[in-house]
Amino acid sequence: MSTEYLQPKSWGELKEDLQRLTEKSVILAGGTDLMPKIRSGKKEPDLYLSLCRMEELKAIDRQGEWLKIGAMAAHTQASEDPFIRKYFTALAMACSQVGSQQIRNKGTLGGSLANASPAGDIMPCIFLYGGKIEILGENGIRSVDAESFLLENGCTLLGRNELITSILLPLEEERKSCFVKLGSRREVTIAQISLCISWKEEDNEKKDMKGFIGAVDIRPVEFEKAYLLGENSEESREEAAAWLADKIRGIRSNRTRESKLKITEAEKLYKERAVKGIVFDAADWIERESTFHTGKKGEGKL
Amino acid sequence: MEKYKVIGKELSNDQAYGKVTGRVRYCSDMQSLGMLHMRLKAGTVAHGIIRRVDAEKALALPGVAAVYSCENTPDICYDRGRVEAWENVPNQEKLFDRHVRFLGERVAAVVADSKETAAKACELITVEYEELPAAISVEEAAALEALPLHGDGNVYEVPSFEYGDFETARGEFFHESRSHIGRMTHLAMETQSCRAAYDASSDKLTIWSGCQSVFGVRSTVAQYLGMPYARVRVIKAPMGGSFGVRQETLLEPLTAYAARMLEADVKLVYTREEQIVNTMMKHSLDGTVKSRIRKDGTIEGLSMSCTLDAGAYLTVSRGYASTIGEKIAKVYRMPNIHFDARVVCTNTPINGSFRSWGSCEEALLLENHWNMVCREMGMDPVEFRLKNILYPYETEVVHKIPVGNVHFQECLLKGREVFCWEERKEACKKRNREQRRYRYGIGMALASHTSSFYPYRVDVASAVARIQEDGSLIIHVGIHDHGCGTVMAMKKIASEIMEIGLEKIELNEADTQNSLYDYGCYASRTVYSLGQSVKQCCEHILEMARETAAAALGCSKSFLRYRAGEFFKEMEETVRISLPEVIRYSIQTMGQDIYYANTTNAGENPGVAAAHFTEVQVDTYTGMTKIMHCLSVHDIGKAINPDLCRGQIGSGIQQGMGMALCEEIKIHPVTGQTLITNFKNYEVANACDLPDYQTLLIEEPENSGPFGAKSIGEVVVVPVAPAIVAAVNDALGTNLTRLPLTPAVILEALEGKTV
Amino acid sequence: MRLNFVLNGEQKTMEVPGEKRLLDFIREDLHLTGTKEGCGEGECGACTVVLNGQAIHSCLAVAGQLEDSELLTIEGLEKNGELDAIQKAFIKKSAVQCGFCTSGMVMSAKALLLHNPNPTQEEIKRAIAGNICRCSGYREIREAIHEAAASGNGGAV
Repeated sequence: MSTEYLQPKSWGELKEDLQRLTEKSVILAGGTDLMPKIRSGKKEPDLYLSLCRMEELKAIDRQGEWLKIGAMAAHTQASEDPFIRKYFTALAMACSQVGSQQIRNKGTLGGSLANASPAGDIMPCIFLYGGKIEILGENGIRSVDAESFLLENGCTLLGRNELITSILLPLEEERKSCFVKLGSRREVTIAQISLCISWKEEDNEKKDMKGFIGAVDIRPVEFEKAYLLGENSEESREEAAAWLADKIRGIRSNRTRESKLKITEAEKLYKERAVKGIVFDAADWIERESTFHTGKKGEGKL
Repeated sequence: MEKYKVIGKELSNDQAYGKVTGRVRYCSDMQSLGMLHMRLKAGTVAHGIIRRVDAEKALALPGVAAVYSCENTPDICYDRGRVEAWENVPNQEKLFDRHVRFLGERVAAVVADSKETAAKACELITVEYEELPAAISVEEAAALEALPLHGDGNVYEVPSFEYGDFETARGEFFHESRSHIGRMTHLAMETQSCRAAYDASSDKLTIWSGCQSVFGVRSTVAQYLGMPYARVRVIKAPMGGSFGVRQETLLEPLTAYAARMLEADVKLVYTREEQIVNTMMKHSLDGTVKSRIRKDGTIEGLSMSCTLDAGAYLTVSRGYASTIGEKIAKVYRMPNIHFDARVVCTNTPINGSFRSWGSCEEALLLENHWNMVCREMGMDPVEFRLKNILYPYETEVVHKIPVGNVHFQECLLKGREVFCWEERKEACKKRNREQRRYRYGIGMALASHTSSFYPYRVDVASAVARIQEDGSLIIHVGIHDHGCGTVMAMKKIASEIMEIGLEKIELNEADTQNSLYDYGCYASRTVYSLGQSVKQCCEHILEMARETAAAALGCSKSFLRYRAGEFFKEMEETVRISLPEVIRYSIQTMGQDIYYANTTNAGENPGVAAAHFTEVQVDTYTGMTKIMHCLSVHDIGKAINPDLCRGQIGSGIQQGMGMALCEEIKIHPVTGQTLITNFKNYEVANACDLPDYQTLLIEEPENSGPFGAKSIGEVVVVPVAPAIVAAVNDALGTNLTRLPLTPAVILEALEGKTV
Repeated sequence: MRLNFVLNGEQKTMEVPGEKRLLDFIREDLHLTGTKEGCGEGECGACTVVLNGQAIHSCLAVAGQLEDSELLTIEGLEKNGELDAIQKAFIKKSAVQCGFCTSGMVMSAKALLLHNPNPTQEEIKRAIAGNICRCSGYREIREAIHEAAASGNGGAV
């Protein structure tokens, strides 16, 4: 009956504590997704491993050609970080649009990835940048590509005695990116569809455009025709929207389980119909090449 | 114009200090030594009979005091909607019924020494059911072969109403519209909570509840427990919002039963999920409106027919449905009217009282209809209404009583001007020409509401005032402040009459032990009815003080004037006596206390007028609707608390937006499961969604109200949703009337349509 | 576990199960019932407290997280009988109705002004977007926060 609570402060303690986790144990990062599950009885942990005192896991630092984001960095922290804002704008934008201020203050990037909710806003961005995820396990730290971290079935490859320690993103000076999402309201909203795009700016042209679309499948889906959004024409936007609508329709028709909240035909077809909206939003953003402003901090310098 | 000292001043809420410091104790905050906590177990079938409840494991858990279920509680029925002890109510509810009628209905309760233990014990209870076919939709439940939920079938007819003859009404144009309203949750921020303590030494039961009717709760609980009313004390606790959800007696019978059985102090606090599933929701409703209109736009006839889903128990639904009809003729002059309605019980959570009790429903059906008529006839919606509205003091034909000093015309004209209706109309057209993605449109709606119970029932409003030795004042009034400032309004009324500072007035909210009888604070009657009673009570007590002062000063009371707590002779101002001296003389010399108990019966029910104007932007790519701007104009008589009136108008806009655009509790059409049980999936407009709205108060005094006041609490929400619906339809050129108009609904409507 | 933390400016040491919900710890063990529970899953903001200068949902935190931290609850704002500028402004602007959202709303405002003493209307809206108030249209609340900011004292610690 009794529950144990561990709150390591050092790597040594953390490694030791990790080995004590059982099938029923939980790793508590920000707790924003986990706590409601515990409260509703979906989880009855025998042991909590809380990472809140692991200061090392909160740092955001440059390491050579990579930016290393500690798994315990909160969304607010990430959205205000000058490096992230400048080189990983889509991620900063995504972080600044997660939940409410309270959730952004508490929820962590590592927690979001470990939770791997299909509606999560962070995973598509990490896919977009070709990020790596560092995992601490029995044999120390290993690093995996984000795309292999999230399995085809939507689960992560995290084992019972493992946790995410950091996210590595490749620093590329000339790459730009943006993130747009469509929720059901303006703020504090869960993505129905999210879209993140990155590109290289060369001679006033947008090249090497990449894109991922989130919340339409159990994993982020690659937007193979992202280049259309660099062409700056109504026709190419329409084509991009139509392509994505088709893609979502395909995913829907292959799905065996429908969302329990979507009852009417109109609700089931909503995403493929509405995707046009965020395609145009993203294209507008790319066209304007807006600088992303939410905080007061200066832009980062390498 | 008369200058008031405190009436109409912006003095915030009576308990504002206690609330900004977190000091006010709501029912859920109350703690006591040995207090027990109750948790409920929810049933897992939509329809069935309980074969067996096994509580053995739960009872074995240390700390568990009792487990209640249909196995060990009385087979006695009560009714949550009952207020008057003699009221004729359906009486279909039991503490625990073997017959389970909706998914999530309470099937057992655990009382334990902590809420965690109670929750754990609930999981250890096993319930065996024999499942029955469930009727989830109104159509299924109304079908002949449907199993009756109660003894008397599932369909309950409501008395219809005829005025003139709609069928033979003339009018060149005939229109028909259908509207649908979805279920909503009230979303009071405080979940339902109740504390009941039984003192065996005195055989006395005390209940704390943030309710709207302490006497309603008492009549239900006392009768259920077979206790004399005098030994059951119900105290109105601070209320964390209502919007109708505190009107009915929900948690009190069960909490009180446990307290009595266990001779203990028991608290039950709902989780948000229980709040959504196990209180009641706003009725889902389908309505058809037909009208006959003359070429010039005058209404010749109206026919309204509606069907309400009552959920698993009838409770107040019949009255609710008939109220829609009773409110049908409060705004427009219509020579021929037909109204009929029916209520159907289904195997779904219970629907019941919701802010405005029928006014919202009536306005949505009617205003959606008129706005459609205007679109089809090419008439301006404001002009159409100007042709058909009632004048002040005109007779409303359903109850055959005058509507009072109500100003629909002024609301329309001022609103049109302030909102810049014509300019916005043109601006929308221009913007629609300039780009493709967004469609802009404007819409408006007009509505009314009540200020008292008259003539539905005798409106009894009582107040007791007692002058204290230092000249301060204690008032007892059966008032239930929802948080909207009615206590402050009562204090201002008393202060204005007594000419003493607000800090010298103590006002006790409803408490069956100290207050005179009151039905409760609903129907937006508080300020109009109870305020009038407080006013008269204070006038009377001041007259008693004047008589005492005259005796003390040895002169006729006709020589005395009163100012700021002192009586003085007009000709000789140095001859004066203060209230403390008056009370001292009264007690010490005359041997009499100065107090007065006053009861008034409102003999009028002045209508309030509300016009709402709104401009929307609809994103045709995503289906999202954004309110660009809106204006609410309210003729509410004199505003006693104008600051809090504006606050309430804001809440009306928020809830109306929800009704029109996003708020809906969905029930699974096959399983009967409530699909939305949290705020994650219940879409409610937040601080970023609310537009920078404007409010305008028209304060024409109503003679029968205290200082000219009428009402505000419910009407604020009434015209908002139909105005938004009209604006969306204006923007898209559609006739959408199935609410809410979610993005999915809008994109569905736009499929294949060029706008 | 043994917890050392600062509660409303006062150093505290207490024995508590680390996994206890922070909200329950505040209400049941610290007996500070000003912090309310509206939904229990971080969607309504009624339980907002300020932890190390940031607004968080106390229903999504555990008591263990208090270790070596500073917790500010609604009860800690009034100092020496004087209300915080935000509290004063809430009263003055009639931003209080039923009051159940008020504590959380005030604490969200407090965290905002601690970081950003001169917020724009848009920043105010975003800061309270996670706090539901059903009694109003948020206007009086926004005005109150704006007024507190204008008074220059809303960010005072």
